[in-house]
Amino acid sequence: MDGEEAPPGALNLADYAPAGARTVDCFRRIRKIGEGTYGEVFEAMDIITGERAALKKIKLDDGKEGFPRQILREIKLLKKLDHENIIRLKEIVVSPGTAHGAGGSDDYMYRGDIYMVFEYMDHDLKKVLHHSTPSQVKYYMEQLLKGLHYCHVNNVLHRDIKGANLLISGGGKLLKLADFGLARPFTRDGSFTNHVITLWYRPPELLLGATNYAEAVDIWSVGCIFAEFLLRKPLFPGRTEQEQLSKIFELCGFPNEENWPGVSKLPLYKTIRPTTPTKRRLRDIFHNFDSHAVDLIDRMLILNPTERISAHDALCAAYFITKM
Amino acid sequence: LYSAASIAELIGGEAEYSPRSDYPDRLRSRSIDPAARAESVSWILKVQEYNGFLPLTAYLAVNYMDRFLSLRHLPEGQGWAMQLLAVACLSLAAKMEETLVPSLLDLQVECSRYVFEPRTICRMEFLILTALNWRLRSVTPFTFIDFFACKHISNAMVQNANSDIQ
Repeated sequence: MDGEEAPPGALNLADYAPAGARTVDCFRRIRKIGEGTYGEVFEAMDIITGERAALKKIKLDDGKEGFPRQILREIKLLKKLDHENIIRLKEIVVSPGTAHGAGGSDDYMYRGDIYMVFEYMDHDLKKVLHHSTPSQVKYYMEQLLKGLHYCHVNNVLHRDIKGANLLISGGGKLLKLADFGLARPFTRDGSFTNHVITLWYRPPELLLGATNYAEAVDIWSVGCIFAEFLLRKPLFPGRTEQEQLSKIFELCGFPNEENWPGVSKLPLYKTIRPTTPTKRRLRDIFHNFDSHAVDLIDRMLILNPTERISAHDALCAAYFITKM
Repeated sequence: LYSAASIAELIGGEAEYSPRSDYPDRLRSRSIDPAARAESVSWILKVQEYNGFLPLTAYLAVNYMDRFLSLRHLPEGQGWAMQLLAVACLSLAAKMEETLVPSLLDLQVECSRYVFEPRTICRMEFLILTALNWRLRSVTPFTFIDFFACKHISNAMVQNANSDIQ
């Protein structure tokens, strides 16, 4: 490259302060409520309206990729998705206009932090996952599937469904899907990375190295959460990917070309060995529960992703039609 | 995806994602340098081809650039400013649409006169994002093509279904 470098600091962002843009000073910080990949999450109050909000701070680390792609994608998806069971991104604000550095040549208007402002939710599902009544469970599951169905209709995979990413409000009446940091739009023939979804809720196709997957990855996670609601403990608490697969096969049986055509061609299939017993015995551990609930879990946790129930069909299942 | 959107919504949306209405006049009267803009557009197209980007990516980059120019003034007589704007707009568009995005230095391989540091580009991206009020999902001609293609396919499916019944 024979180009010359742009003069450092020549771009004075102060000249370009976004007209009328709100800054984080419009909010009073109440407490820190969490820590994400890109920064902290705070509970805050809008000073003007008094409305509560959750502020997710995004750190710009001046890395090689510039503005983080994951954040751009999350913002893009959240602006596209508009549903009562999906967290609403209210606005994006910037940190206030304090100069950077101590009068060096590198001053610029903003420290470089931005904040995504979300509607405030009381807590996450993790908190209630191990002590909810059967009617609450049905209520949560229905909303989770409605939100997920809406994502899937709009060609968005969530890819990280777990208790901490499902938020509850309104005295336990409202559930919303949150944290779309790993979510992405999909196409039928798209190829993705397989390092997504927290281990316990990760479906067998990802653990076996599939890079061509679809909506069914989210349904597996939903099935794991549903089962955890009933059992009041995690269904497959693996510590390593290997152990995760063993725990799945122990209950769901060992995959073969008969129950899952194409499975032997997945990259990591050859590395796994059948454990005993290899027969599916998932239903056995739920012998004291509502049979409609167990039927639905059974159809969500089918090894072969193409046979796994869709969010739409799950919402039509007998479980949701029968009243408690 | 477009089943819920009506053509009226798309047309309304397109205007919201366009440069201000006085932008063509400002280009003609040279209060915005049309030659520098043309040079940036051809640079964007060159890099699009070199990296095998989608046509939509190039279109979005130019859309972001025009919208930014119609809202903000770049420092005058500074060629690097327009080039920096083009690099940052293309980088944003690639991050929105492409599966594989080259590093910011690789993105500038085809760029002869100036090479910008990633942190400088990051700041420019941030400026653009705030100027455009974070509205990057522009309604483009591609949106309309998808819309009509979907309509056509679903009409054809209804017709096929009808002829099956008969």
